[in-house]
Order: sequence, then structure tokens, then C-alpha cells
Amino acid sequence: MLHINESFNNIKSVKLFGWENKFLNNIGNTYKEELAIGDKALLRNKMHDVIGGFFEKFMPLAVFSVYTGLGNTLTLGQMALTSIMLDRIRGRVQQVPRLY
Amino acid sequence: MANKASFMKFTLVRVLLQIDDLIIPFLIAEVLTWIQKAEPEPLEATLKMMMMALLIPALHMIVHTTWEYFCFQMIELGHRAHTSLKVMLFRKNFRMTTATNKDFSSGEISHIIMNESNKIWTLIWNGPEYFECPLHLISASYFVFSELGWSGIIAVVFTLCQIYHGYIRG
Repeated sequence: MLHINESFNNIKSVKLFGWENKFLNNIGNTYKEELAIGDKALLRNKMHDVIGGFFEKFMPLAVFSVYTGLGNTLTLGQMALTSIMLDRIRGRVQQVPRLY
Repeated sequence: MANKASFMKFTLVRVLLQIDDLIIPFLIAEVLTWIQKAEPEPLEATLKMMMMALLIPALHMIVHTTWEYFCFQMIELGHRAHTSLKVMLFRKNFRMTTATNKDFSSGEISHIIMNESNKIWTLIWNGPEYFECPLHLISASYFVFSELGWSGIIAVVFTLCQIYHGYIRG
């Protein structure tokens, strides 16, 4: 009740001094700032998605490329076993920042 | 005693499931290598490999069934622990008066009862992950190294980068 009374008194003060437009401008500016921060956060998240996706998708490619590039022959069994293990690493890596 | 027994049983099952996670990839690799072989082999060797191939879905089925059963047990255990904790805290709260308790308001204690006691679920679900996560990371990296030799260092570098990136991302 105390807070409601305070709110109504403040509204009355704003109207009494004719500050509506000033306050509307202030609210508008704050909203624009909020939108700009939201856009920045969205851009940051997308950039992190790209970087995270790069590490995730290119890990097997990089590992197998280096292995074959060094002159080794990759068998299907080796590839299957390594892919499963790399997949397991990928899955568990996501948990690390959440757990520790 | 019953709680200790069920905890031991639960730990044993989780450990066996982890071992199973490590066995299945090797079975898959063995079967794939066998499928690729072109030279003739004795019937016993073929039967052995067929058995090994059939072991993969059989193990998956056993793991799935066991895991589902223990998930139910975990939920049951979580509810019991959660409810017991709340009962204990409520009992304590009812006994406390403003004369005996000057540090905490009853609202604060109610908050602990209704919200903080839910943390017990984190222990139930995430507790084993604290051990399983490094175990899987280390064992998987080791197997990558044993299969690909020093080329596996690329996987370790990528893993470390991913972990670092995860912390930066927050």
C-alpha cells in the first residue's frame, strides 16, 4: 500500500510540473539503450556460436587430416572408434564449464 | 543400512554402465575391421565375430533397461531425500521462537526450506557427473592417442580450446 501511494504521488508531481514529455523522452532513451545492449548480447552469442561450432565441427576433420597428412593409413575401424571417442569428448566438454 | 546398501548398488551400476560405455566402441571397431576383411577364415572365427556383432545391440538393450530402472530409483531417492530434508527443517522452524532465534527471520528459514532444499536434486543428478565427466574426457583422449598416436594431440588442443571458450562464453 505504501509503494502504491508513493507511485500515485509521484505521478501527481510529474503532471503538476508538466514533466510528461521529459519523462517520456527519458523512458524512450532508456528503452533504446536496453535494445542496443540486447543487440550487442545477441551479436556476442552468435559470435560464440560460430567459434564453438568451429571447434566442434572441425575437431574430427583436423585430427584425421593431420593423421593422414603424416603418411598414415586410416582404417574404417580406427575411424569409427576415434569418431565415437571424439564425439564423447565433444559431449563432455559442454558439461565442464557448468560443473566446475 | 538400507540407504548405504542402495547407495552402493547405485554406485556399482553407474560404474558398470561407464565400463560398458568404453567397451561398445571397441566392439564396433572390431566388427567393422572384420567386415572389411576379404581373405577366407575358419567358421569358428566367423561365428565369434557374429556373436560379437550381436553383442552390441544386446549390450545396448541391457544398458538401456538397467538405466531406465535406476533412473526411477534415482527419482525415488531424490524425492525421499528432498522430503526428509524439508520435514527436518520445518520441524526445526516450528520449535524456534523469536527468543531462541535472533539471527534469522522465519521468512529466511522458509526460503531455505522451499528453495535451497531443492539443491538436493542437483546432488542426485549432477553428483555422478563430477566423476564421470573427467573420466570420459581422459579415457576418450587416451583411446584417441592409442589409435592415432601423436596426431591425437590435435584433439587435446581442440578440447582445451573448447573448454576455455566455454568459460569465456559463461
